[in-house]
Amino acid sequence: MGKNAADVIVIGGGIVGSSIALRLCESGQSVILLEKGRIGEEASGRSGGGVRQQNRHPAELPLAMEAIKIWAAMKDELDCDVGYRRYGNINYAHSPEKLESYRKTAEREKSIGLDVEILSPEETRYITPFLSDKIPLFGAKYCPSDGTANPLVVPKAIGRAARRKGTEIRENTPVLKLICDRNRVTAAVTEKETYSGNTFINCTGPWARGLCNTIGIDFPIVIKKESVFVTEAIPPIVRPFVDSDWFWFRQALEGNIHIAGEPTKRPVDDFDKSVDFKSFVEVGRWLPGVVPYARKLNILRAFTGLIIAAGFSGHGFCLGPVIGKIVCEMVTAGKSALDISQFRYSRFEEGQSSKEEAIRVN
Amino acid sequence: MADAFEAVIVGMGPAGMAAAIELCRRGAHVAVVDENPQPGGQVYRRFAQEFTAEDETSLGVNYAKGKKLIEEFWKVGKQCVVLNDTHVWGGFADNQLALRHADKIALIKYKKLLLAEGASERPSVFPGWTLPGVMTLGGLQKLVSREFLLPGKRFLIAGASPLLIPVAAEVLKAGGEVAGICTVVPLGRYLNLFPKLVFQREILFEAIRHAFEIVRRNAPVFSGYTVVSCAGEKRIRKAGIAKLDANGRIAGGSMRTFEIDILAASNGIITMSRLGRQLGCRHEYDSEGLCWQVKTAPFFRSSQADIYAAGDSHVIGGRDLAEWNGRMAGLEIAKDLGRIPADEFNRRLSDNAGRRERLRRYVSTLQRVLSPGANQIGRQDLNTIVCRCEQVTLGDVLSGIEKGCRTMHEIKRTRVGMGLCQGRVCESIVTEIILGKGIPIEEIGYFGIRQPIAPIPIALLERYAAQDARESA
Amino acid sequence: MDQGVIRGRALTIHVDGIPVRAYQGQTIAAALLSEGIFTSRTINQQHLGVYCNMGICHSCAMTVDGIANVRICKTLVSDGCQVETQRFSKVEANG
Repeated sequence: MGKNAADVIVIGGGIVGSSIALRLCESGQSVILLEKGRIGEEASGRSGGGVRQQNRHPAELPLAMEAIKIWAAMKDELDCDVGYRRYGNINYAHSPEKLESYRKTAEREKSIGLDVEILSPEETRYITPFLSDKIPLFGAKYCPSDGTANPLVVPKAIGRAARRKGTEIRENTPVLKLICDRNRVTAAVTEKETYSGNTFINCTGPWARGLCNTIGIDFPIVIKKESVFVTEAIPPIVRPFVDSDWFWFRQALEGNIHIAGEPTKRPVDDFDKSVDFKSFVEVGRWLPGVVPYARKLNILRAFTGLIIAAGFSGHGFCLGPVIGKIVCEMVTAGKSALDISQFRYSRFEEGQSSKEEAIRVN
Repeated sequence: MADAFEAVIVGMGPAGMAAAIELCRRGAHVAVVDENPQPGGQVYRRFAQEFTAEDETSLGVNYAKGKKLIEEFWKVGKQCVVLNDTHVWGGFADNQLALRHADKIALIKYKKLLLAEGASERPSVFPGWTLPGVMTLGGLQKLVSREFLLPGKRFLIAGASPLLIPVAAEVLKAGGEVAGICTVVPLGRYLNLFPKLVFQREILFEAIRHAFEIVRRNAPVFSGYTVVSCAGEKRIRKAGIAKLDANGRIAGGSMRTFEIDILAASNGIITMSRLGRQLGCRHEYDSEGLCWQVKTAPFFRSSQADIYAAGDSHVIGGRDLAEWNGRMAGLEIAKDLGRIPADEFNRRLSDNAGRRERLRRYVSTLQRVLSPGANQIGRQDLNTIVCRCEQVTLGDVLSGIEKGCRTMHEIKRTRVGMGLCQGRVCESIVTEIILGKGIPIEEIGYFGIRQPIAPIPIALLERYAAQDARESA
Repeated sequence: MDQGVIRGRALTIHVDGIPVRAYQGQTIAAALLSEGIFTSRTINQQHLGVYCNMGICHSCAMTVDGIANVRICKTLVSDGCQVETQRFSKVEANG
């Protein structure tokens, strides 16, 4: 094969693209991965870090449960501690209606085999004692096998493993357009080269729609940016990833607290990485009321992550590795072992798509 | 609602003050912001207002020059808004800057912004350099000459910096015992300065005064020596110096140890561009000064619209060049605001051009002569700390590079730059380590800076949010 | 080093509960160094203290009047202010 040709051309080197490239190489395919910047520095590298199964669209749950098996094996497989820890995910119910809807979701999830439980308000406050008692709390939904990992490390570690297994990674190589011939994609065009292959996989996240548009395919997509605020390192105060309708926070392994809230989400046209002044003010507005202890802390740094209400809607971090497995099966065997029928592209035309409000379902 | 200004100047050192003076003289509505309690920046730092010095002439040339410029600044300062004890913690959309003063946050808006953030020092790194009692040359200078405090009895003064000789002389004058003045740059190299120094009378006389003090007190000078270690349980007690051969190994028989209280060392002056980087101004790497500087198009315009740069954060040049360039930057902004015609600006630019060029050449020679040379750090003991805030060692960083980290962004996974100082101290160290592995500087880049530029207390954000809510109600 | 300088009025600050003499106009860092107090904080028992003395390195950060991570080299003494050494253990936060 020529220098710029391979069995599979993967476009986009985030956690999804890298995982796909890795699995494909393992199964004997030749792969070229084209990344517009550097591996793992867009959405995957700026994720909240949650590796979560609970509270997903029903079609995603089996995928997430499969994914965490891959996460558990990652340290050995990649020979790198990616910071994956199963400290659980706790999701506050601030109203009786919410609690009831969590009960229903828990039943459904349990029936598929997920370990979730509904906690009483007392149990919830025991696990997260710093929650202000002025916040209405009716209980929480808790999944002990959920966890977190380090977004700075994971996508790059997967990318390196992909490279070790034979993936040709071309960084600083944005794909300008795809070329189609008789309903087959035949080439990906970059500034300097043209790449050809049998299969092309679009893993470009927020840019996915734009790339598909170059061959006349469109699908609905909304991009929102979410700012994450990070405090200085403090002694351990919380183990699980704390989730709510409208905020989340977690304590990183080094002790820094990562915080984000619904008010800081804003729709954007492009992946504009700036953090707004308003977002800082919003943190001041809601955070001390929820966690009074926060008044003693400083914001040390802030970064912007991305939620794409298409693609993985801000919860692709957990799924990335299993998507690698699924897509590899689709490419090599023609279909994937897991049921992904609900994700079929035709669902948009069939009117079957479910409108997902970013991260949260219910 | 944000207060709006025609020009906002960040930094009240010589460059910032000079620019403010020129702008205010032409009637512009200006705000000048600085974190320090008084104008002067680093080089023209004054002592506390609550103190009284009996004899100000003993405070040195920088004090006298600074006093003059500060007086000129205060004369026009009545027309501009002078914000001391105020920190700019971020630039935001629509030409807004977020400020913090004591326990308050405020927004101001600019038409034109001048970055005069100044410089800081490149650390000298050796095993034990993070021990209390080890300071930078500038840090000790501020203690001795402006805070009137000798923090110990026995001092070792070391490094490769224009501050080395002045700080040693000041410690001696204050009555401190200097166990050794350790100049990484061999004394012979200093002679290369003389052809240019002849034209810089003021600097030459200062240098002679300092040298006289050193000779008078018999302070031992170790030419070509580097600090190779220091030790102590909770603070420094002992330090070892030696000559290094071309491979960075200790030349046999050259090692000497001292028992000391304070070790002051640094390896040069580097630009300190934080707001400039956060605002997205393009920077270029100066391979002599070993630091990133704001790239400007004639004359002081950065790559970002309406943002200018002058002083040491633009190009390391010392106090006089900073003042001159500050004045010119102020005039360029005045011209771009329509307050003076272009030919007045051009005329002022060519005034004293000859003198300025000679000074610039002297400073450039100084940088070159005093350059510590690249890649000292990569040869150290692997347990040497590289990032003070997160206690990351050289071994950790090298291991990160081995695992594939090639850029300043990627190397953060080793935790460098993730602590309280957000990379201000370790950046130059880490850059040097990665450069030593043959990776080009354009690929390495620099730590991306985002708001907040310095830690912002959540309590202050809460207060602002409440005030904001009240005002919009 | 008192020759030639008259300091501001004397006052008292408290460092880890112990009273320390200081002068109006001094930074907390200067006051502590005058008294031979060199440690500001520890990370895993490694001591850090005043290094750059200019607000850049944050090695001097201490808790002042209940607020953590205050750079004492940039903070002036005030009568009765409480200054505390910060000790941080870098263990896995949730380990």
